[in-house]
Amino acid sequence: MRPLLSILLLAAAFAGATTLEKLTVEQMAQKATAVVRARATASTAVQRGSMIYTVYQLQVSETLKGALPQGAAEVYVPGGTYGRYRQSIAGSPVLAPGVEYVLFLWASPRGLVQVIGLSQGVFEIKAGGGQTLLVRGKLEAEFVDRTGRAVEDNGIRLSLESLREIVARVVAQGERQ
Amino acid sequence: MRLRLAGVSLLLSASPLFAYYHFVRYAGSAPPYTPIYDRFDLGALPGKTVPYFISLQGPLRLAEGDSEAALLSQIRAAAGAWNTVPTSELRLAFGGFRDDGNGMGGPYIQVEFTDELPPGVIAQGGPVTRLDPVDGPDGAFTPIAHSVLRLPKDLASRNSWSERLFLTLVHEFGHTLGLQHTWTSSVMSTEITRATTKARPLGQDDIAGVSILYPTAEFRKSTATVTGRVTMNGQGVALASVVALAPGRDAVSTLTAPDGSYSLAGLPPGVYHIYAHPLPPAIAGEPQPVNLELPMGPEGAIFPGPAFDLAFYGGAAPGTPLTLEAGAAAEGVDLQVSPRTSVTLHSVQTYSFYGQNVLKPATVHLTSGAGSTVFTGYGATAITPGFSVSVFAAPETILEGSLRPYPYASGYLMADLSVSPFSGEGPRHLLFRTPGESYLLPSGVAVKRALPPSLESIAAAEGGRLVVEGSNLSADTAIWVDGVPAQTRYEDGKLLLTPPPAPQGHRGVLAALNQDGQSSLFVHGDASPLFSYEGTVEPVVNIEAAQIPAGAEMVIPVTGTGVNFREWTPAIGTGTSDVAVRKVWATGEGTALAWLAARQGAAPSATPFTATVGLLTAKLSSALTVLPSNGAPFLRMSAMEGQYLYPGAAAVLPVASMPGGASAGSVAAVIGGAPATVLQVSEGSVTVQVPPQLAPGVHLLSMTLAGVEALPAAVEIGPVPPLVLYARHPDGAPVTAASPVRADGTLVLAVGGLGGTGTVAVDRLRVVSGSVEHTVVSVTENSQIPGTHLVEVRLAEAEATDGALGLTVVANGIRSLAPFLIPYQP
Repeated sequence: MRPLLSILLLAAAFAGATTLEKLTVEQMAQKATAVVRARATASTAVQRGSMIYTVYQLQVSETLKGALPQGAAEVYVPGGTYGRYRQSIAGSPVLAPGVEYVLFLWASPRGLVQVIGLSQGVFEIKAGGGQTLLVRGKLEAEFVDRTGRAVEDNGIRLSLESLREIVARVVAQGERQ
Repeated sequence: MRLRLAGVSLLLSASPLFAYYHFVRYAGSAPPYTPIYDRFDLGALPGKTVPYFISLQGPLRLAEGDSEAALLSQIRAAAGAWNTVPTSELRLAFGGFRDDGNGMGGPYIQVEFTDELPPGVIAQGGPVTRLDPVDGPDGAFTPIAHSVLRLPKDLASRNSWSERLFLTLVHEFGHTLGLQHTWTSSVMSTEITRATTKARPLGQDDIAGVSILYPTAEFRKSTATVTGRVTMNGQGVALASVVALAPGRDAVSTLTAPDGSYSLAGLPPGVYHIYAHPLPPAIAGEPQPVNLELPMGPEGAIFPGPAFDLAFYGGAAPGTPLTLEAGAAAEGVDLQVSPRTSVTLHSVQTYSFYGQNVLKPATVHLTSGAGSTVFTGYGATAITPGFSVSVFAAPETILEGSLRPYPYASGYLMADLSVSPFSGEGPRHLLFRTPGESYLLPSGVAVKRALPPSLESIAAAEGGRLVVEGSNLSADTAIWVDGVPAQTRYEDGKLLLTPPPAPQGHRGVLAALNQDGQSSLFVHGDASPLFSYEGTVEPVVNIEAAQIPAGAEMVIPVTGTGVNFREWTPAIGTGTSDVAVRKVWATGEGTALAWLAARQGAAPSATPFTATVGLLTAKLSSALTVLPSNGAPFLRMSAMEGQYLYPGAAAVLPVASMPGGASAGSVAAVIGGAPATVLQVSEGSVTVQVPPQLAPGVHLLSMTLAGVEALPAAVEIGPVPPLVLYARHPDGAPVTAASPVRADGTLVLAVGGLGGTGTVAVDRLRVVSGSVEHTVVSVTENSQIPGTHLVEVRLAEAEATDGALGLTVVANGIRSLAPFLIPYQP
């Protein structure tokens, strides 16, 4: 007899140029310090310690959670070209100019705002069936679940209204605790 | 179809190796595509060694019972895994603790624990490279300025000793060296298909990958290369994965260039099946498909070609095998592939169980006769019509009717693999099929002869040693305490081990690692046995503050207490990539000498030393100061490697910044406290006689040149080497061109330097001609020349050069300095 527990005990910790723990929308909403609807207006690169980041300027049209300034914000994405140097981080998202996204953002203890789970926290906004849809394609990055088991990603598609409800519920739960 | 097997000369004149799962750029957008790799510039690294620095910046949150010392030792061991590749020139060394690279000019790797990894990101790594290529001896490359390996500060859920954390660290270090992912079950594969273990962390693919970036001269001579092109309807397919698969051995792979051409290098001699498969599907909305940093051309990123069916060289699976010899090149190994709509069968991972522990990849033991393999992957989560799995090119089979859903988790399947006691050890490759699609998983199952080692009892013995008993332990078993191998001796089925020095009270986890790739972690997992350093003496290592001018070499003394340096030689970090520690010699139980080399353009700085001995790593209060180049004379110790010195020998000492007017009369040298006679002084070198009374070992060398004191240096003095004085026939007649020695004939050599008087044991001596070993029949004292011996030798068949055969005498591993030539008739 091989219990299911045995497989769940797989401590498939981390690997890959970037290794990700797969997060649900609820988990991302819970862990995010801000969830915003925004467009990238410009980008530049900076060096911060040993890392090069591409910094996207965001035009925020709605804040679903958190307190990013309405109107303008920055998000740091690891990797980029700075001066005569380039740093590559596989799996880093690229925010296309003009495209509208919902971004799950997380501010580090030192105030560095990044997307949660690299590309996991980037949803493209599309219209469909008379409602605003949030679409995130299937990510090929290596994922493990919370128990460490390697899992695949199937992408996510949900309505903006559903996300608002999820965020509101998560925020309310957080306030009750 | 054109296939040609070419010899070494063809290979050496072939275009650059462009196997890659590296970081690649192309200067042009038309064939021939010559890759420009991101890699470290070996010329900028003293001793071809890249230092890695660890930044802690605040406390770490570790698993219960874990410690910073244990974690650091695992990081050092993971970096050290890349130092075991004999065909790679690059070496890694711990440079000390440092939070940033400010003020350093030399390349380095920064390992940092950070709280800036956002939720959902567990580890990150990669090189930071210059945009503009530079020319190197193997072609243009883009030098890595530094690399980054980032880990979270919160490691509470990950034991430092675990197989997976260790392999992750090895994997991430691979990225820092310039390696990307591969799809052939090596450590540079993702966790999904990785098939290496802590006891055998690198696969052949990893060895080939790093050797392509940093090849030794031996690399191309000892391995073979396959070149060809992958095409679809006559058009080249970019970024197709081409794999060389040998039954029972690791796979080696590469990706094609934009025109579909490929060069698959680093193949050990053997028989290979060559196949091409598409990368996992491109990702909707993802900027970087297939988790790969795409190669860049003048027009931007180069994307993978269209999806295609798995295809073998020479036709349907298993195709036409190629027999490859060392140094050979097989050219024209072209593969025509057929398009398909999408790739739906890929990335299968396999498991088996050992008690309650999961083994990955699935491991089957020959004694069991059969073993169950659990697997899952894209397209392999249910037994759909036509789905099958088989063992590729091996006698083992999947037992008929054994393919079934895994009953304890949905989305998993299982099958039973039959083996026999006559099966060989090694990896088995699994071929998965659905109607119209095939997928090969290299090393999907590991077949082992013995069960993994286990540690059943650990008892204290005299002198702080431990007696370890268990099963499947042998003289080849290594016992690690955390990340440091203990010193072991195998006696009567037990291992007697001396644990490495550690901080007082340290609790180390013991793991037995066998050469077949299995470890006791397979058996004990999280519950691996502990050893507590209660009541032990904590070692202390001291280094005085030191100064070194840019571009100079010198030695500094290292002292210690509570540790025997002869058993546990300390590793020293200078805290800067501008000064490398080339070597540390233990000169006594508590004394050592560290050889430092500063880069030519080293910037002035002051950084604290770091000393590591066993599991103890300490940042010392003393600092190394780098001075601007100041013209101080110093011995170029790096230019002396290859010069064998012994008592009484003439030592040619290359001296940099020799003061003007230095002459034999104005130069004084002292080696190991004994004055050395100065024989000659010329531009750039001083020749001295090594004091004849000096004992073999490493000795401090101090010199004064025309009143200027040189930086302290060290020289290695070996035993007096054997010296052949003459050769005679057994009847005493001289060996001459008119009376040569013949193969299978016997001759007598008069040899000096064998030490003392009396008979010398035959087994202390060897007489060789290149790789040909002759037979030493007897060794007796030579009464005619006191202190020398007569060595009777029966010659083996050997190749003569111009009628002469060179004989080298090896005594206790010390070789005569030059072959003694005798007239020889094969």
